[in-house]
Order: sequence, then C-alpha cells, then structure tokens
Amino acid sequence: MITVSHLSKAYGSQSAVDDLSFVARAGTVTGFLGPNGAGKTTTLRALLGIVRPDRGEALVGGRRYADLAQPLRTVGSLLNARAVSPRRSARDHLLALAVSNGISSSRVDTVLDRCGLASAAKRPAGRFSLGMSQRLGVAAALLGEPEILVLDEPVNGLDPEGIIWIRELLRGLADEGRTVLLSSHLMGEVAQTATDLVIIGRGRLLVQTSVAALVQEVTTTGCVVRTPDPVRLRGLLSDQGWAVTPGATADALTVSGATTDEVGRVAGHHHVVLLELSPLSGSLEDAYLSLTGDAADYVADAA
Amino acid sequence: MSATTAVARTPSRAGLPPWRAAVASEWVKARTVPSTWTALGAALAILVGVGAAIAALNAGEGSDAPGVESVQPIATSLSGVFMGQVALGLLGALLITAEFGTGSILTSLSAVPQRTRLLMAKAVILVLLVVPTAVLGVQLAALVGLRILDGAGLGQPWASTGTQGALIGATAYLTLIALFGLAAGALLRSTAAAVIVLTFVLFLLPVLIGLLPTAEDVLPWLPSQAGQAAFQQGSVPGYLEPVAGLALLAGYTALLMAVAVWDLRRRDP
Repeated sequence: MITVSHLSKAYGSQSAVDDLSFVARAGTVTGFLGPNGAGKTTTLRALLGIVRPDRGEALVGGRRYADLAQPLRTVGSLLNARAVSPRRSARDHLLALAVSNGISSSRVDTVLDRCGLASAAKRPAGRFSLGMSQRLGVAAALLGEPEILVLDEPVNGLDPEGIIWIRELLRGLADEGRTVLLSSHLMGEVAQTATDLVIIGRGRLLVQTSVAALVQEVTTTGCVVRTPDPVRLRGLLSDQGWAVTPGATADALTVSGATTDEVGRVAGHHHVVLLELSPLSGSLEDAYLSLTGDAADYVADAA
Repeated sequence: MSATTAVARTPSRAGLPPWRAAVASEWVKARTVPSTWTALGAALAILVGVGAAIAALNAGEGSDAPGVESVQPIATSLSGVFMGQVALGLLGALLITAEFGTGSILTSLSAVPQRTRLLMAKAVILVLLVVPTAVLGVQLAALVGLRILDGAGLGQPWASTGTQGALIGATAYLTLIALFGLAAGALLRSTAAAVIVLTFVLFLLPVLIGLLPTAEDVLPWLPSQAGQAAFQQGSVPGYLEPVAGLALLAGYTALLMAVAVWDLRRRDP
C-alpha cells in the first residue's frame, strides 16, 4: 500500500507537487497519469526517498522509504531504464543491487530469466536497446520480491510483445496481493493494465477513480442526431430533461445524457423524421484529455 | 492492507549487516567497470615509469655535475607521484561522478537510501583499491629508481633509515589524494568539474601562489605541498615536517569529505 498525503515540493519558486494526496491499494495496479510536467516524477522520487518533500509525506507500506533497512525487499522501482553504467554487464548491475540488500545471486539469475534477459546477461547494459533496458529495469524492480512496485513509464520503448508481457506481469503481481503503481502520460497504456486511476495535473490531484468508473462515465455521454426539423426535435428532447446543443451541421443536434434508444423512441412517438442517430462515443483518452486539458495548456504556455 | 498477507513469501531479512552490504555492493560496482582497472594500471605504470625515467636523467648527469648534493634519491625515484596522483584522484571522483553522469545514482540511492553510508562505502572500497596499488607502485619505483641512482653514485642504500618511512608517506599521500578526489566528485557531481578542480589544486594553485611575494610562507600549507612533505627526507626548505604535512592534508581531505556528506544529505540528485 502506498499513501501519499498532502505532499508538496517546489523547486525554487516553481511548484512541482502541490498538496497531493492519494492511495494505491494492495492487490491492484494503480495507474498514475498526468501530462508531462504534471509532477509524476517528483512524486515517485519522493516515494523513493530521493526527493525530500517540503510538506506532507509519501509512505510505502506505512513507512518512509529512507527508514527501510533493506528497501529493495519492500519496494521495487524503475525510474529511468537508461540510468545504468554502460560498460557494466546486466548481471553485474543486478548483482551490485542484490548484494546491497542481502539478496542471493541465484535470485539475480531468476529475474534475468523471468524478464527474458538470460541470454543477454553478460552483455554491457549500454549496448541494450531501449526495450531491453526496460526489461533490465523491471528485473531490478523484481529483485527483492517486493510487496510494492513503483514503475515510471515502463512500457516506453517496448515492442508489442514486450507490452503484452509487462501487462500480464504487472496484473499477475497485483493478483498476488502486491501494490503496483504504474505511471504514464498515456491513458491508452494504463487503461489496459490498471484497475485504479490517479490523475494529476499541475502537481495537484485531478481525480482518483477506477478505470471501470471512468469507462461508465464516458460511454453514457450521449448521442448525435440529424433531422430535417431540428428546431422541433430540440424542443421535444429538451422537454425530456436532456441537454441539447446544435451539432456540427445545421440539421444536427448533440444530446447529452441520453442513449440512442431513448432519443429514437421520442422521435418516433412524435413522428419526427431522423436522418441519422448515432452514439456519441467518448473514449477514455478523451475523458483524460478533458480532465488534464488545463494543466497541459499551462505546461505548453510555460514552455 | 489485508492483501499484504498474500505476499508472505517475501524473503526474510538475511545477509550482511547494512554497512558491510553497502561496502560489498560498492566492491561489485568498482570491479565490474573497466575504468577502475585502467586508472589503477595507469597509476602503477606512471609511478614506476616516470620515477625510473627521472632517476635515469639524474644519473646521466653523473655525480660530478654541479648541485648533485641536492639530489634526493627517494624524492627523485618518486617523481611519478606527481602524475600518478591524477589517475588515483580521478578514480576516486569517478566512483561517484560516473553515477551522477549516467543517472544510476538514483538506482544506488534506491538500494542504499542512507547517503552517508553510500559515500563512506565508496571511500572504504577506494582505500582498499588504492593502498595495494600505491604500495606496489611506490616500492617498485623506489627499488628501480634507487638502483639507477646508485649506479651513478647518487643513491642511498635500500635499507637506510628513513627509506621505508618516506615510502609509507608517499603511499599515504596517494591514498589521501584519491579520497580528496572522491569528496570533490561527490560535491561537484561531474567528472569534468572534478578533474578541473583536482588539477587546479594539485598543479595550478602552487604555481599561482608561487607568484606571490609571500609565497614561501603560504606554499608549505597548500594541500599538495603539505602532503608531499611526507616523502621528503630530512628538513627540506618549502615543506613542513613529514608527519605534520601529512596530517594537514588529511585534515583538508576530512574537511572536504565532511562538506560532501553534508551536501549529499541536503541536496537531492
């Protein structure tokens, strides 16, 4: 379990994280989403004791990371897969980590094998492709069989096979009762793997929800209807209590909060001719973009 | 929280005590990058090679040349220390600046979040690497250099009093310079900056101070000059007494290391 409460961190006058609170539960994959510059990396670094918060705290399993005697046995993390010594072999990289936390060298070989790197174990990590580097980063995170995993953009650079591999791996880890926090700036990546969602922008919490709830929200948005008599239909639909706005063309209307079935029945009852009736299919990506739109704009302006 | 019981197979705590585990991890890191062995090999080659070359130059001038009474057999044989110290100082810096350069300092801190422990573990491994190299390099340089000088009537007996004292002093000097490099690297977090500061302190600073009218009063107190007093024999003008000089360099190094620890604990990577 990860508990972030009232976390704040500023760099100079620039606020990176501002009074952020959320929880990632054990036994679930929690997607940690936000546009670039939203404060994801600062939050993850605070969780791992690399950044000291100005206010608030970020706890792993109820404790501060820096207080853990053998932290890799409690928290496995992947912050930057490329941050390895280029001349050191993958196995030696993992061995140095294992030795520091009293983990056996046989465990090194186990995670290399599990991450599909057994045949590349003796190669210098600097010659790895980005995808292989990500696998090495995941191997390092799994080293101590931690109950909590914190992964920053682990899908980045993986091929399709690798993406499926990591999704199944992370879901499997959550099913074993572990806490998995998975950051990304892409909703598409996270929605396939996560059950819970924490969405931040400008360093603040925008929403903590579940993928299921967000899907529910966006798939009941409404529908688009075209008719030769938009004025009359608009009146009829408004009488039902639905919000109706003009559509993309003069004969089109956008109806919020109603399904195509409901709109079709009202039109039929009043003998209004319909030229088109289609669901307004919102996507998770759209919902995410509308949530983070202001924050993203702010980032673009600031740049 | 209740689900954490499902992760009961998390391994029980085992292995070395935290301090020794951190040192063991630094040993794995140091021995698995080629730069460690390159730096140690270069230091060894410079200590012996440059020492032999300078001794041969002096020997070539013969015992009748003017000013030969001022030839110090040990200091001449140890002429390689001036260049060799750069390789060892750079090794010290690299132990930490390489991690800042690649970003792998984040991985190191995730494994050992106690920053003082991380830096001190590096210091322990650095000493364990540098001391045997310096002992070997200094003893070989003296052995070769004294033999060359002896052939020209300029040497001193290997077994004469003060020889081993000077060689131990040179070993201690090289070890302190390596630690100075580590502290500078931890503070500057950049290999290039650490190299610049090292060469400034070791080479440029004595030259600049030498331009001052009061140079004679200041020079002996500089880190390089103070430390090099350790392998001068007898009272040589411009140098403190050997033990006092070495103690002063140790003090400078300890001070820089303390500042590096304070900075590492305070300033996030």
